[in-house]
Amino acid sequence: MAGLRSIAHAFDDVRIFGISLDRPQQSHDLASKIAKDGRGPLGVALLFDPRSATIDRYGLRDPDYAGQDTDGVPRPAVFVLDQQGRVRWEKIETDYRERATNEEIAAALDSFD
Amino acid sequence: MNRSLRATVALAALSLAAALPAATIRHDPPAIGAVAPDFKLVDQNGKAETLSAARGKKVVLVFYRGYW
Repeated sequence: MAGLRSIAHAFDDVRIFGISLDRPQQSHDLASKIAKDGRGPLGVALLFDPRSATIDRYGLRDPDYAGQDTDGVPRPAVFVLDQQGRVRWEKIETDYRERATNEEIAAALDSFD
Repeated sequence: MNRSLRATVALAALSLAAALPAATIRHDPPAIGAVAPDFKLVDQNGKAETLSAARGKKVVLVFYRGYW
């Protein structure tokens, strides 16, 4: 999460949204904790998806959590969108080794005007 | 299958059908080139954010497990 800050700082006209089941207060605490190192604000809007409606709309509900009280947690995923809202790049994690790196996200943002 | 067992199974099946949400639509993740679905969600400062308001800028959307 702190790594996304470098993306926010490196790119001028980019909005970064994080989406999870963390409540706003939890996200506020996380953002404050990250900013405590003096390297600047997080620069990411951490959004609360209370009933996993957005997670489901994106087809990302993680089946590994089905039937548990953590049901609704998403598979980690990153989408890079262009200025018209179209998906230009995406990485959906099926294995922890497939996590999108900051380098990949930066390259995706640089790949189009 | 004997009659009372059949009746029990039928009752169980009916109860299950009644408990399922009506028309649960399953979505696939948006493909390259597709317009990403809009959303309106509250951020860490209590501010409502919509994806469509970010048109005109490049966007990075990160779905994560969270820290609960």
